[in-house]
Amino acid sequence: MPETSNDVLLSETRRFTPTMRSSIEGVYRVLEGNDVFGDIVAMKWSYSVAENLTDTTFALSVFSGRDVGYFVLQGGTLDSVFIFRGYWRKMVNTETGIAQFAIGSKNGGRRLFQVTPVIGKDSIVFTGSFGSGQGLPDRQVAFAYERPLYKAKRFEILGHRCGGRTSDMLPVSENSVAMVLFSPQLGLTGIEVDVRITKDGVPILYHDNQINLRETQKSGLVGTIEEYTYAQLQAFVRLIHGERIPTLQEALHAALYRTPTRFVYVDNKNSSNLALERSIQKAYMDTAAALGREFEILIGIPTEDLLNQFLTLPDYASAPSLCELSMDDTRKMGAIVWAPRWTEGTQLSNVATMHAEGRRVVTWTLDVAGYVQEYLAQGDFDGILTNYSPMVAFYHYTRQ
Amino acid sequence: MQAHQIDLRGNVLRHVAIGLLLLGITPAIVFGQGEAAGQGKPLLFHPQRLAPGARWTSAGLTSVAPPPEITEEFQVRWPAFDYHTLYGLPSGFSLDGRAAVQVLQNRISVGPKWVSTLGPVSFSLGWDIAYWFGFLKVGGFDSKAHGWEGNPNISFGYDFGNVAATFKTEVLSNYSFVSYQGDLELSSTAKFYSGIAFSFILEQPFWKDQYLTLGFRAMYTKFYWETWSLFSTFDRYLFYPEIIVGFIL
Repeated sequence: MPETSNDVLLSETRRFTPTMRSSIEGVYRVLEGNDVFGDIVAMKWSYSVAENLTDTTFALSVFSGRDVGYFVLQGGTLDSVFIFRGYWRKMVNTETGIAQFAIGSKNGGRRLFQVTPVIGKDSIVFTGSFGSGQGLPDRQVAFAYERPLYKAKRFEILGHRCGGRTSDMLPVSENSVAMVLFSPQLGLTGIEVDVRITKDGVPILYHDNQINLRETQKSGLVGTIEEYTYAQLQAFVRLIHGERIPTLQEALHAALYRTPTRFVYVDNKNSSNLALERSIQKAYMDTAAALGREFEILIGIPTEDLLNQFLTLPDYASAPSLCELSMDDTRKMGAIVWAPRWTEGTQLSNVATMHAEGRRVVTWTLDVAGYVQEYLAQGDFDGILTNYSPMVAFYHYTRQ
Repeated sequence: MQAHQIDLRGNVLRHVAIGLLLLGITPAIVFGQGEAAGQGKPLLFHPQRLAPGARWTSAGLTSVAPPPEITEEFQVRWPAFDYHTLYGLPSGFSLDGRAAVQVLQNRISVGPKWVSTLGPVSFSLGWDIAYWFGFLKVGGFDSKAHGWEGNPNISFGYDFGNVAATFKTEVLSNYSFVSYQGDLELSSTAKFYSGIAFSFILEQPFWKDQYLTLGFRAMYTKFYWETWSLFSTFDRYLFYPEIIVGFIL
């Protein structure tokens, strides 16, 4: 990802108003740059809050249907011109670069200053340029407003391992607080987190069975997470991009207080302590309710052993949960979400049955563009768990 | 069912033209006529001219280590049973056929090979066409897939007497990839030019008249058929090392 900070022009701008931000969101026609970004793109805002819980940063993400491409832009106004600076990249390969845009006063800038701007086809035009790597932007790109984002059906775009895999060369590590904070920029409405228990009983986020170089920097520690105490892991282990392994509470705190994330899918590994997890879930969901914040935490059950452990919880029937097993198991545990693997197809009749019972259906982990299109067009899922959320966001928001 | 169909004709025709050019023109320039054909040694990879009707066959195993980018923590390596046969044709040509069997996924390839030799040095040009298929209907999978591949290849060999060494380079290309999830079908040629492979192979007597093939193949590719069920979406050249062991029958 190219370095884009310290933009002098951006520091001179004034922040966008909420009306400006919501007016800019939409589906845009690509006027220039089609060969790299396709014929249409979807634009959506997200935010993250600083650790002091007061400073909020807004980011405009532009989702392209070509090679899981996306832009992340920040901006502000300068007189009646809207200035944007940021970067673009494609997740399936190593293409990336700096990007810059403007909405000129006659291209919608003046209109966006109105109290209730009326936005229609071609009323906003982004003009700009993009470059390669750290090089200066030297290729033209332009987008013209086409229509609003698709919002007819509530749909969850869920990020695998807090937002994406380390192998996709994201700037932050999978299953880290940094990834939780980064995930909304990728178009996510929710995240999946992988939970394991340390030797001294602390639920932390980590995917693999072993401490390995895929997920962590060289530390000298070998074996499983479960063989070490939380203090040992904090002292000796750093994730690939240098972050600490977070506790489940740290990840939930970041998601609740510092992002617009509304859905957390807790994927339990076999070592999980579901009684402890249930108490954490209840505490955070009660807090969210008190804040008036839409925020679901679902205890995920992927194995028979964990199902049996879940059924021993005194209040399991009222604990929001998600079941990756059969439909019968989903009913037995009272899960509100059934989560079949995507490789079983659209399963239209099973999905309809679950819907008739008042349950939602989320499929995992789908990254193939053609199938994402097919599942959105022909399936009836309520969400997709993916490593390529910019792609799912593109196909979802550009639906008509 | 609805499929995303991509027009293959342009790419395939271009590929055919390049293959014909390589097969027809280059060898004549480089090596000329070469030595007379005969039964040859029991060698499968090493370029040697076989008499029409002469045939060698080997059976063995191949094993590929998929890259951690797509397998992550699960370093599963299933060896494939490898059956390889070479059949002599007129004018320095032979027919090269191979079958890789893993039961749930299998691949068969066949292609012409043209050989020229100059003393201990030999050279071949070939073009293999392969069809593979796989199915997986357990543990949350209702998947199957099949595809066509093309591997234009060039080999250089040196015969040391008892040991024949071969260096082979292949272009890896996908002519089609069709997959099914439940009742949905998806067809794609997104990774038509998939990558390149380099092999170094030794063929030598192992026990009495029994010949042994030992090879190492390094593939740098965006797609490898044995990993179809992982549905990798990387558009990057990943490294797939392969070990080849064969006993010439």
